[in-house]
Amino acid sequence: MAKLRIARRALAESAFTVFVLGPLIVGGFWWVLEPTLTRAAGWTRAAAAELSAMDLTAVGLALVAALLAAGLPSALRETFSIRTPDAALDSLPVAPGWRFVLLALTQAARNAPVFFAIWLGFGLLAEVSGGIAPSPALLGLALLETAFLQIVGGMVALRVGLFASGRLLAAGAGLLGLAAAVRSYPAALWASAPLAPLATYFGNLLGDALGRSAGPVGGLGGWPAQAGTALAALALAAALYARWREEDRERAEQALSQRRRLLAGLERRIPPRFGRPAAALFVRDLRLTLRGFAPSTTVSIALAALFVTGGFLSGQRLEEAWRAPAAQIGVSLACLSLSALAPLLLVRQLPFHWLELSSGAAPEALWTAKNLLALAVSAPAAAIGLALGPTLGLQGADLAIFAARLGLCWLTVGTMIGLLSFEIAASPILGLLLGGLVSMALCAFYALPEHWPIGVFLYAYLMHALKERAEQTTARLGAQE
Amino acid sequence: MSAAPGEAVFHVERLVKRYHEEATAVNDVSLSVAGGEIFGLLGANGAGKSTLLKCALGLVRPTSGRLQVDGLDVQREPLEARRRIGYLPEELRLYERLTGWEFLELVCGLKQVECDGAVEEEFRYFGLYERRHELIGEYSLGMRKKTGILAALVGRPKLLLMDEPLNGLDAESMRRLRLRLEARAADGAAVVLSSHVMGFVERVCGRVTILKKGVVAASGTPVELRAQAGLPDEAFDDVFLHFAL
Repeated sequence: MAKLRIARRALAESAFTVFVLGPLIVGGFWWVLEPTLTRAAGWTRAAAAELSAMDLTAVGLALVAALLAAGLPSALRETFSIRTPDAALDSLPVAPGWRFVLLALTQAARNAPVFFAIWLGFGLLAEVSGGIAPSPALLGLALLETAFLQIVGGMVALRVGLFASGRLLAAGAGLLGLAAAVRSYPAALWASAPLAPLATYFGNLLGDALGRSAGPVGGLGGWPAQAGTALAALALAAALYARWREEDRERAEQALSQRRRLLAGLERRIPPRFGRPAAALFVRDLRLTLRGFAPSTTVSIALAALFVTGGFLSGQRLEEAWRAPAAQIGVSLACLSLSALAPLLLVRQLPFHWLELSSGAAPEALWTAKNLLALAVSAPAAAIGLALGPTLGLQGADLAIFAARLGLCWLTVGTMIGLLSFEIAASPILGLLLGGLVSMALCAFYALPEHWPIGVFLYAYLMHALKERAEQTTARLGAQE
Repeated sequence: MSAAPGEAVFHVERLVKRYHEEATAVNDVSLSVAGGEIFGLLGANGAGKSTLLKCALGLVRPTSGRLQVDGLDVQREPLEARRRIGYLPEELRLYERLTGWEFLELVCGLKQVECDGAVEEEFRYFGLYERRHELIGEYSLGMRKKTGILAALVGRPKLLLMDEPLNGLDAESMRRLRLRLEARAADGAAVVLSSHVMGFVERVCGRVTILKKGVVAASGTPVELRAQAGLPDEAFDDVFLHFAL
């Protein structure tokens, strides 16, 4: 009940944004962009026709791997009540069965926004491609299945020592390798047995949205397979939960704890023109981001990986003229997903602001640090995009122009989200919707073959205007009434 | 313009903070703390101590009155004034995913001082050195409080505002804190201490002001307060309760 009350209050606080402003903004952009999207539907259908059932399943498996990896740390924290409000329940006579129900519901609730985004994304894709939108009921079943698999995954990973340095990364890379292998060797899907039904379901979902049936893969993907996997995962999760001992909690604490020094000495390497306080705040923000202080870190990274992969995979299947723009849009979305970490981190930092305010740090240091963070965390997406440029058949001058456009997109998205962090943090959903759509519109403009150099001037103007805005917003933080 | 030696480092003149018509947190409070002095600011819960300290930092805007830190008007030059203050808040929020050392590095960066041997020495002094590279989330309440105290001491500020610094500290740590505050005062810093541990306040503070519902109920040295209350042989808690309730 307490959790429901907290959720109800949070929803009530942002009800106007979620139910009125958000749909208005999305609807407005849809109305403006609809003709372009309809034209894009033609080449989406053409690209979809070339995809095999196993291509779609491979994408599904990559998505499942990303969802699983993103939810593993939170599943572990919730399972063992490590640094969560539920730790208080340890001292109260609450039956383990109820604790498990609470855990399962909490984990499902954590995944709900991502599944809502998936439903919305596939729905939009179905709209432009003339495909079939996902069924909310089956997606709800997949949501529960994912939550149960995350709980089981967390506990199994802990038992087999997967959280030791490097092993988790190796396991993630192994899963992605498996996803790639599935395209050529369908039998490889069975190596990921517990994830196969979910992967097939997502593959089918994508196929349906693209207006192209992926077809059943070994009877998987339908609701009986989903329900069976969900029930099996639930039973296993409940059994493991009932058997955990104090040493498991200690191991989990150790796995989530990072005692080693992180980014030591980085502050000294930041150019002095940014100022020492800004450098110190930036290093702190980077440390907190890498340690998952804001729960959105892993989700943002997973989304960014999907956007880059999607941009380049679809680019490779399009006509030559559309390849670079498709990849550029994918990279821009990845930059947006990563730079959103700056305002989302700030939302979590607001109760800790006494330090910045009482130390006499100038407002400029506060927004400079957030701008640096947004640019730094989104830089890998641009760098990977650049490294993948030759896979689109780009060479010489074309590659250089592609690099310039990517750089411009990265700077635009990072700067806009970074400098507006303090405003976005006040209303994250609305802020990210607005900031994201405006920066995406600019990146779409940079994709135009002849007009993109104007973007350099646009960016300079944007920087100037946003800096002034950021200065005013942060200056107001100092004194309360 | 900085305060000359011996002059008031922290000066409050007729401070009023009213949140709305019925809620006056601080009402016409004046006080002055000179360099080298350890000053006790006492009061029951909700008496206005924390509000006064937040006004000193410019975190809360006074309804009327004037505050000066080291000769600087807090409202006109808030950033300059804050740079001269070391502050330990009552409700201490520390980033659990930073290590103690990383947190102090951040504080040094914000105050633009070197995070060098002096900071390491403070870690040793308060018994945190061995665990400085562990996450604050793994610290006990006392260790977190000591981390907050270390942060307030960074940069040798002219004014130390310590709001409930003793919560969670063991007897040895309290002794070390007392010695450290006395040493800082001997170096010329002004220390304002708000606490409910009356034995500590009586032993450490040269002067004490007791607030009651936002107004000054009593002011003087601990000995003078005992005399005013007519309780020469009672515990200092009783003297405090005499004025505060």
